Amino acid sequence: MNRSPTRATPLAARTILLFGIAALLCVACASTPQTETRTVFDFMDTVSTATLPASNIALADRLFDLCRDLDARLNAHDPSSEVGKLNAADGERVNISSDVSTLLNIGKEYFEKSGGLFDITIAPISLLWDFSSNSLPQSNALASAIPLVGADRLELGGGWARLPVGFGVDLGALVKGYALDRCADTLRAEGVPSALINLGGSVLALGKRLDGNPWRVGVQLPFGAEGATLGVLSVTDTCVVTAGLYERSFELDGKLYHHILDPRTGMPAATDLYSATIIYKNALIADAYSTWCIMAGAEKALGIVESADDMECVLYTADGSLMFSSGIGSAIPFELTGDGL
Amino acid sequence: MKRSARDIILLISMLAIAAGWYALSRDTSANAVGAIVWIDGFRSARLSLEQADEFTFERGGDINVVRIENGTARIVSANCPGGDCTRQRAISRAGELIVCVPHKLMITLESVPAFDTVAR
Repeated sequence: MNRSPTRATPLAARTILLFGIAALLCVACASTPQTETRTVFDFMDTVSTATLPASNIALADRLFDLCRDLDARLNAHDPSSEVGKLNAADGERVNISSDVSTLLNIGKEYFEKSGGLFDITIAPISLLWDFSSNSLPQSNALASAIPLVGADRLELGGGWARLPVGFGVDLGALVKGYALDRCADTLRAEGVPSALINLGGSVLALGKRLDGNPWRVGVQLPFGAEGATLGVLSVTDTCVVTAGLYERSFELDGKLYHHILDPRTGMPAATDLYSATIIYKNALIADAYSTWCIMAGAEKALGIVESADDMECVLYTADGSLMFSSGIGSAIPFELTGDGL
Repeated sequence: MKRSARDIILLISMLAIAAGWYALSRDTSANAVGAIVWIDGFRSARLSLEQADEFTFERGGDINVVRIENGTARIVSANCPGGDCTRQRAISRAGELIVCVPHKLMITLESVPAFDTVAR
């Protein structure tokens, strides 16, 4: 059991040295950032962020360029955009890109599925509303616009589209979702294993965080402070898309006017939902469902989401209640935060 | 000469270990950003420490009122026997905690942000 001091001392020194080297490596690792985040402010007039592994951060510029390009081509408010030209075609056939074709087909599909509640041909009405001016459109202008809405009148063929005279499409309800899906395509093609992209509040959570944990995505508390949340979802490889009355809205004479418009009345949808958050693998579809849920109201929205495979939702009603689809809390953990108490 | 070299190695190693320990444990000594309220072993709520507020937790007649102010959390009133939890000092560092044994309520602090991003 007795050991010679001449043998023990070098061994102890070597052991300590090894621990020291390990500790130095720990310091080096701890001080090296694994992810980087880029933020831009020029996509759809909102804040967008891309969190990527540090080795892939150069891709962020490519993603934002892709989003800006889509925004420019799909902007119904710009007469020179692809959508602007379709809207101004006076009943003529217009050649369209594959991006616009995808969106118009999805728009028609969800018009039918939603019984006309979700309608991308809302442009004659939506272009009359300016939510930054805090004023209402002329009622006679709205009344004239209502008959010019109906996605069933939109004709689509291989590479072309045609709208009746006076009709117009507004893809604002789908652009962020579609842009997220295109970002996901790019990231997967480049072999990026982990990324968190937030385009104006619509989120792509690709893979897991680099530490192996799920991404933690807060759900905004409607009409709360920026960053105040109802709760936090733990998600992996999916999208989280919210439609809410609190975005682009104003109050006039004690009444709230929000941007989710009812094609039947031309006015903001009368709904008992303040927000609908959809969790689904495809952001474009999640975008369509989130708006559809708001239009349908709380009672029907849960059934709409439950009937879709692998889709989950968090709904927040005007009376302050939270409603969840069946997989929230089990398949997708949702942690309530104090902000909503 | 040999002893002197060993001493230097020992000193460098100890400094490196101390630095490593600091790097690994710095989160637990950091200012917290969130208070987690556990009731009966379940994580019941996460309260941001960044905004002054007061929260009442009531379960089966057991009441604890948690106040958030100046980046700290404390229990300001409770109807537990003895009211020991209300006499515990305000906590502000990750790893600190307050316990109300009769009500099976515990407040812990964490330094990690509540979320990576927000969907809105």
